[in-house]
Order: sequence, then C-alpha cells, then structure tokens
Amino acid sequence: MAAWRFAVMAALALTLSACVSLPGPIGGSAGFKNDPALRGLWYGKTDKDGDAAYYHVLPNADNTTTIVGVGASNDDKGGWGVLTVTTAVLGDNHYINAREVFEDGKPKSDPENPDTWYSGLYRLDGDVLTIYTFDEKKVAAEVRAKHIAGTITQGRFGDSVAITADAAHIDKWLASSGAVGLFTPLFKMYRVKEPVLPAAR
Amino acid sequence: MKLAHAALAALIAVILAGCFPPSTSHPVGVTAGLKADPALIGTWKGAGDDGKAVYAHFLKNDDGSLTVLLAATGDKAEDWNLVTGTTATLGGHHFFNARLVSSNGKPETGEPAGTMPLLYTIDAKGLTMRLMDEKATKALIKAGKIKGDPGQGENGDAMITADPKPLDAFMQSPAALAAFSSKPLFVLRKAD
Repeated sequence: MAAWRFAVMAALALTLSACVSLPGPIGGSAGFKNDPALRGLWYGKTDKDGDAAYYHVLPNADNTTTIVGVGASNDDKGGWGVLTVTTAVLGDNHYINAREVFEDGKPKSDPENPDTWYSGLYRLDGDVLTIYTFDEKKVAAEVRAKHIAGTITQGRFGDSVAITADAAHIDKWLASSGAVGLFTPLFKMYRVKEPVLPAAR
Repeated sequence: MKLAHAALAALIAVILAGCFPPSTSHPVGVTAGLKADPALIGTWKGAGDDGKAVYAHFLKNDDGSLTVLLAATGDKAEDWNLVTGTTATLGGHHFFNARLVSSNGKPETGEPAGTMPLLYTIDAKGLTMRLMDEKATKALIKAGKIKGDPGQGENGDAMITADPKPLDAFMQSPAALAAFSSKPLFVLRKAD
C-alpha cells in the first residue's frame, strides 16, 4: 500500500490507534446530532509524510454523517475510504465517533468487534478543523485516580486503557471543561472554499 | 437521493430513472488497448444546476482501470457515487467505458451488462464528457451500421453488441462520433 493511501485511512479513522477503548460511542446518553458546521469539503495533509487527501463530509438524514476520503495524489494509484460518523456535544466539547465502512472500495467490517467506534474530540476554528485523540497516559491517570472506571494493561509500547464505565458516566466525565486536557492533537483539516460556479445547464 | 441538482450525477440520475444510456457489450478500445489515461487522474470540479460545486476524483487501479468517485457538496448535497471504467484512444478520439458501481455505498442493480461509452476531450475548457444519444444510436443499429439491439420502443435501452474489432472501427467513424450527444454530460475543471 502506498504511503499516502495509508495516510488517507489513518487520518480518516482517527488513527485507529485505539490505545484507549470505550464500550460505545461518545455521546450515547446525550444523543447524536449532526454538526452542520462540518458539512462540505475539507483538505488535509499529514505532518509526517505530507500526504494529502480530500474529505467530503456528507450529512445524512438520520443524524449520521458519511465522510468520503480520497487521496489527492496525481501520480500514484488511487486510494479512498468511507467512514460513518456521529457527533455529539457534551458541555462545551464537541466529539466525533467514526467507523470505517469502506476501505479501497471494499466494504469493511470487523467481525470480532462489529460495533466498534473510534472516538475523538474536534475543534473548529474558522476554516480549520482539528481532530484530537485520547492521550492514553492522561486517561490512564484518570482511571488510576478513579475518576472513571476502567482497566489498564501495560504493553511493550505503553499503556492500553479500556474504559468500562457506562455511557452516562462517560458522557458526564467528558462534558467537563477539563476533559479537553485528556486529548492530544492528531490531525488538521482545512475547509475547501467553494466559489459559486456558473451552472452547467 | 438528491441527485438532480448535480450535473455530475446526471448520468446516475438517468440510470435511476430506469432509462440507461446506450451501452456496449464490449468496452470500446480493446483492440487499441485499454489503459488508464494519466491526464484524467486527479480531482476535477464542476457545477450543478444550482451552481454549487461537485467533484470527481479519478483514481488509477492496479489493473489499468479507473475508479471515479463523485461527490456533491453544498447545503443539500449528500450523495456520493462510485463509477469504474477504462479508457482508450481510437483515431485520436478518447473514450471512457463507464459502469456505475454504487450510490451512497449501496450497490447498483438493474444496470445492463457491458459499459456505457463516453467520448471525452481535455482542452482549455476542461474535461468534457458526452454520452451517446439514444435516438441516434438506435437509428444506427436499425440501419445496420453496427450490430446491436435497439431496445423495445423509444424508451428501450440500446446496446451495441458488435465484437471488439468492428466495434472499434465503428466508434471512430464519423457516423458513430456524430451519435454522441452534442450536449455534454458534464464539463469539469482540474481542481488540484
């Protein structure tokens, strides 16, 4: 797989690093509602590889959103992926949950974890959208401090944290202003301005 | 599905209406070689009836075919569509053999076998694609200019069933080129 193709999926799927796992999507107790501010076309480039991709954010009628990501390279084999996304607002914090449904043109499912959602925090500053992912060390500290129920497994590459609290407790935990500090920036996307073009017909 | 506003999705709208553009049982250009035209690769932008942007991402596949991802953007645009195809050049004319795969992630059903040929040009105006005109194609088939099935009545779907060699010879003839609609399916400009 070409490097930039990986970048498309990595960025789309909130890294899928999943060093912090949740029993369900964030906002399950508060309810999901599409954020109209996210609608449209975004452009992102990874810091590490400089690989770029377009992201079409297409809200659905059922308060889910489809994100279609397409690699923006002209000189390599094409790659694309699709996520189903939900968003929720807890306190002043905006959260996003994503599930990959297509990868390189093929429907994707995880038979062992069919309901797995990857969750993060997002902030919109003008036309810049920043996605944040959990900082496993800070979340592990929260678990150790018994601020939220969970388990910590030490691995070769650091702690793996599984939050075990129910949705109501998780949403309450993440609604506080201090919850923002549990996240670390992952990826920035920039809104593609869409000039009004002459109609085709 | 809100497709009608998007010029790029006109092809799909036609198909969803149950009236397929003329198709060929063999892709156009087999004798010359089917290759992914590098000039198409990348992101193209066009406009719908309402002037809002629609995007077409042309992606190259391992097997030399192309994947085209269409997405409409705007306040009420929520659709994405997937098309696969191959390209070939015959007598200096560029053809794209298209097949609709899915709309909003759901597989298309009911599409005729074969592919829909589009004639395309890339020039200062951008990428212009034209479908074959249904009536003109039916007339050519009925006149014996090319082997095919004109379909039932005015609304039946015409399919050219000629083998690759006579098909390719025919498609670069003045008669066949004139059978492509004078009205472009869409005109796109490179976005990247």
